[in-house]
Amino acid sequence: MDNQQQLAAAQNEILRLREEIKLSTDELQRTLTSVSVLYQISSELSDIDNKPQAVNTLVASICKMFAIDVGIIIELHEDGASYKAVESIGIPSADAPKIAGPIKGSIFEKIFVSGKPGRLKQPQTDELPEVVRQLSVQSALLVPISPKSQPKLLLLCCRMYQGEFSFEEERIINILGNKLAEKLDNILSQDEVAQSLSLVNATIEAMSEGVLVADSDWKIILSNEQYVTMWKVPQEIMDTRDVMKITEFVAPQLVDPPAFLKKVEELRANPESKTAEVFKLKNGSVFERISIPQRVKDKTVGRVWSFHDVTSIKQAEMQLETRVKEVEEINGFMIDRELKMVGLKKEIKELQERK
Amino acid sequence: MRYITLKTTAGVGLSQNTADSYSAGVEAARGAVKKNTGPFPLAIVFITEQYDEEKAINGIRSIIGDTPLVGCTAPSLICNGKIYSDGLGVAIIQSETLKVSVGASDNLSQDAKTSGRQLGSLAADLSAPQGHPQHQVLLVFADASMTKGVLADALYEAFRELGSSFRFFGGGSADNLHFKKSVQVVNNEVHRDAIAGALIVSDSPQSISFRHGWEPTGRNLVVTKAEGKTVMELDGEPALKLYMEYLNEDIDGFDFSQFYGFASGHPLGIPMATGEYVVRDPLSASTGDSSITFVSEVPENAIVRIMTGSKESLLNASIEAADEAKAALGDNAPALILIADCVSRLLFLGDDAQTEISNIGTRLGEAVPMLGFFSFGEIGIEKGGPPALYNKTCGVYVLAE
Repeated sequence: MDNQQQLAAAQNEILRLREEIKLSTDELQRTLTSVSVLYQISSELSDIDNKPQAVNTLVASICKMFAIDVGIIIELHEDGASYKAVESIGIPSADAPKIAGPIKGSIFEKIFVSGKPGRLKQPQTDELPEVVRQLSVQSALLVPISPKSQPKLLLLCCRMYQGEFSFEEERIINILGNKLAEKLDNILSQDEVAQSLSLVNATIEAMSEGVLVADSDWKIILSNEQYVTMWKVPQEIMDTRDVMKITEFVAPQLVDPPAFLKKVEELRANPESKTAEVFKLKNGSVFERISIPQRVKDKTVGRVWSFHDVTSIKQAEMQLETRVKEVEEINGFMIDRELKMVGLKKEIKELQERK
Repeated sequence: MRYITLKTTAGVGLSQNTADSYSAGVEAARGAVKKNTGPFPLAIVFITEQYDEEKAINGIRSIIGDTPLVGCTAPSLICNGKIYSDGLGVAIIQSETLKVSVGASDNLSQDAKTSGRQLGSLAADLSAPQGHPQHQVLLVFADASMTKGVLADALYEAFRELGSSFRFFGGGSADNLHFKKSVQVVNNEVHRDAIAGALIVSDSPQSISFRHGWEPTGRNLVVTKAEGKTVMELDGEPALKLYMEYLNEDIDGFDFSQFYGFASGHPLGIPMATGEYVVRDPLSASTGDSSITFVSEVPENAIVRIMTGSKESLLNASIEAADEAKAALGDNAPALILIADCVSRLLFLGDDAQTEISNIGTRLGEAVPMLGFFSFGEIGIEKGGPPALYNKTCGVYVLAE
């Protein structure tokens, strides 16, 4: 190989390396973009606490980020015979209820059965629901959302302009579908929420303690009848849901109102603090108060107080203390008496020795 | 007997008579109509801040009669290839086939979702069946002066109402950065705090293209705290502090009255899965809480990058926008060009902003009537999906003959 050929080969090699570097830069950029999109949509999902909003957020975000014209969440009916849309973007709102039909022979049947994503190039007119067919769809991607749990869902994404879905897009959308499935598994349904709330309310009402729960703004979000009875708080004051108004009402019932109010202020200034105190009331009652922060996912969102009427316990303690004192006094008296006897014996012995 | 359908045409007229708003309206509308006799399914108006909008509209309507009218106020406007810092521009479309519905919805800042849904319901007035999106476009002009970031919500709701068979094109109305006047116009009405639109259903294609010319630079930053248009934290640090440090600027010695001018060369970009970046234009900074307020909403948890651009890259982008809009028309000739060009591009490009507009005219045909405005945020669905709210971007709409 002469010098000129070597030079040409070297130049070709440089060009090839440049192209490789460019390709890897492009690849890196695509990866960064994918990570960014995954992060943003996952973060949006993490802040949601109800199923319809989670579904809507995922579809809206995917459509926005991936320039998808139509995004529809299809739900398989429990009997496995029919489907309907539970969320749709890109279909006129008036037409969305028309996306329903028998599952057999539909484009969705295979996805629900296989649990794997599928892509369609230039979908045939009879493959998509009629209201989607009207939109001149160029390509479609079907992604199962929750293949292993109920309800069974899938995401249908359609493009009218942008062309086919790439494997990278399919991969990212599939990951996001799995994220939604995880989220849905972790969110209680409205019925489940109602059932849980009912259980919580019944439990709290059955407790012998007075319970008060406030949010971070110190507005009451939960209380029980026992609390109202213990502190004799009128309904109109409870209705204000204002912890400070309720505190101002109950403070005069205490032997030392300023100390009580000071403690409340200390709690307000220290949302993370946990306390257990005993307060004496002017009517002779004694209440124990336990206060702890209410935390959701490591975040303090409010405060829980429980008040326990410990008057009888305190009275028993006082009676016990009195008995102990009496015993100690008797004991002291007996010891005194013994000592005196020892003294007398000593004196008698001394007198006898003198004799 | 055979009837021949006339092709769709348009005319654009201008007045710079700031002394008499009514006469200005008359002059601009007369210039747009010329000797055409109609039918005129739609007129579009852009007005700079020097005018009394109601008088101007009365003047326009004295010429165009009850032709549906839509438009807004703008810092500067574009008429037939030239930029005007004061003026009133009118475009009028002549067509026998175009179907148009105009409307506006108020209380945008209070109830953006309802405003958006009402705008979307404009489609109900048109009996057109579901068609190809290249033939169904919603022109949108919205009040963008409010500090609350609600416009994205309104646009999303309008899109949900209409579906994907409509493309969006438009921008935010404003004045010359005085933030005192932001008016939307529909027929005889002058609206504030509103979103106005014209739904256009055509036999001939309508093409839309948006390009910005900004490129990402440096590392990814996570928006860890944001509300509406205001970003409080980036990467868990006070946003302004991190932004200024990133750009090697001394925050203590910086003259923040000049912040917009400085930051206009360093916007943020939000990456889309398509590989493109939606740009966010920093508008103002608060040293008190170290926050930065942008022209449009920045979502919390977004990963953003600081963008960089040059006059050359911006000018190339607008050429690309024009070329793409032309290509999308196929063999159809353009009848009308509308432009929504970000006001910050005008500031960044300076005298070269005129080059940007001239380039668009050259690419699409210098004889094609052109009307546009410098906008406070650009609105559009370009390639698909829900409508986006762009910043620092050049948007081109073309209606074919």
